[in-house]
Amino acid sequence: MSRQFVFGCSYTNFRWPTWAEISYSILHDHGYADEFYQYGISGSGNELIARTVELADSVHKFTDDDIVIVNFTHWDRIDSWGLRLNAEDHWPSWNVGGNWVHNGTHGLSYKPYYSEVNNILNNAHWIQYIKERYPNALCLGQNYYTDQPMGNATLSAVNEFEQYMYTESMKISDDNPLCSKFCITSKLQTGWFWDNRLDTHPSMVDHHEFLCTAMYPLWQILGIDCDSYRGQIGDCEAQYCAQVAENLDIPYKYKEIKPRDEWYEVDVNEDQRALWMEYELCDSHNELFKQYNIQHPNSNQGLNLWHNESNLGKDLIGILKSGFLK
Amino acid sequence: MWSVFCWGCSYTSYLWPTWADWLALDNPNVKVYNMGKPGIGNQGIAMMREATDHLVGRHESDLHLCLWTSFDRMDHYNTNTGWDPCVGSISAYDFMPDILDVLWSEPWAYMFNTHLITSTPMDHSAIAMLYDSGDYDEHNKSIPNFTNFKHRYPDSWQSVMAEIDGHPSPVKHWAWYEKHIRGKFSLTGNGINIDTVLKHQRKLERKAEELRPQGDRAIRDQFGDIQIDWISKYNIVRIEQTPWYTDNDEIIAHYRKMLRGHFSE
Repeated sequence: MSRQFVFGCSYTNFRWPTWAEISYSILHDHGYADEFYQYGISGSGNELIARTVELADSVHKFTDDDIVIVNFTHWDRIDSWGLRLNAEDHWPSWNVGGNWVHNGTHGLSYKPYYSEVNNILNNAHWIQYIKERYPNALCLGQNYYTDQPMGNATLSAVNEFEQYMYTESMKISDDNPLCSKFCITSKLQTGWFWDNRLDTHPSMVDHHEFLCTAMYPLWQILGIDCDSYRGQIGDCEAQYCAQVAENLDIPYKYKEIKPRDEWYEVDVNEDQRALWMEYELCDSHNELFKQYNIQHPNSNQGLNLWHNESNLGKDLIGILKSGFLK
Repeated sequence: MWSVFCWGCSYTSYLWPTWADWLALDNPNVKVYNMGKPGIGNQGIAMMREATDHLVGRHESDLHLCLWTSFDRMDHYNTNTGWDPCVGSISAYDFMPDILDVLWSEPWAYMFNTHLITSTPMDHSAIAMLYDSGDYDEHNKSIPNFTNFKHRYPDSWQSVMAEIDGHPSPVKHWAWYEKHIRGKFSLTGNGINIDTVLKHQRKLERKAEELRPQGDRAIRDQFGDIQIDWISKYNIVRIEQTPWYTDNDEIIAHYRKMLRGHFSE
């Protein structure tokens, strides 16, 4: 019995299958994974991702047979834990607002305090910590440095210490051959959702491409041809997009994925985009994913570790004693 | 010669000798670096200690002792000015006033600080101590190897200094050092004894009495001068002028050179 645990942000756990579901589907197809534990949290930062890894370990007790993959997120997120956004439940939770530049929790109020080095210190700490504590875990990352820090993406290394920290953080990236597709690049996303300005998350095809590159050593060891799934993934995505378009009454014309310039004539207005953001019919597509032999989203076989009603969540001290204290 | 790095807040580096300074005097065969920074929190302690490992390299025989501080601090490294000025508890100063209540909460502080402490490798973070812990007393019991600095060792310092400064007296520092560190971690210690400590403390007490009419500020200032002379006399290494405080390249280069120097000794 081999279990696969995946951790990350919305690039790991999203409305449609990500690299996580696709990789499990492929591994399961070849008999390498039997159970799937999806612990990605949309909007989370690297602190929360790291803590979730710890917590999952304390609950599930990782073994050498398990496949543990951590896909770290952007470096400009600030995880905070408190009551404010969840006051009705009278129990604090993580405030997961995504990158601070567009975070509803603290948003631009943080601008005067923004510090690149502070970001580096914190993120490098969490990533290094997980890599040291879980040396068998596969650590990925789509962006090892801050993106769009108020439009000033270059690091102003003003002293030797900061230069050092910058170098160290880059080393994490350079040492990791898995930082590929999702690293900072203008060719980040493709697909119908992106081209229609409906959603900026990577498409299933993007996820598959990332998967083939990022986990190349694993595919090589296991003798699996990840590329061979490209057509299957592409077809599934096309059908999924068509279903969504139909449900939202958005024009959709299927054709092969091509450079996005050719898609710019597609016009989706803000109302349609808002409709997509509120679209909650994702589960209705599970049959489609099943048809293409792809694990559907929100199919966690584990626990909702940070859920408000979770006994684990309520017993904070219990968590700390069992999970965080070695 | 092997080295001991002493990390902490003002309970480690202060206007008068602390446990780290007594450790240095008591173990003349050991190179002691007092890395304490008044006001710093556990985030700063843990992350600067991590960075130092990478920055200056790590000698196998080195010992890192962390005197962890209270959980109600929040450190933030500013790109232009280094670590933001800390004066202790977040409740005591104007730290990100508009968003602090969003960024900081007591449960998070406990989780974060506990992580910082327990994720620091215990083979070289041999001690962990919490003081003024207040409501966290119950939590402290769950953290292994914690010893609390709330011991009360009555001494004459109380009557002289307690009114203007709540930091432990030199004698209290010695008592704590003697109980929890001396004789452990290969720190045999026989360089000084309690007489040395009392002698220095009485000197400071007399000075405080003499300066009392001039006000608290005068006592602090002159204590600082006395401490500088004292550190110089005993060749104690205090790394206060480091990236803790400044982004001055020359000072940082000096910091690196100084720390690297001990490897060639």
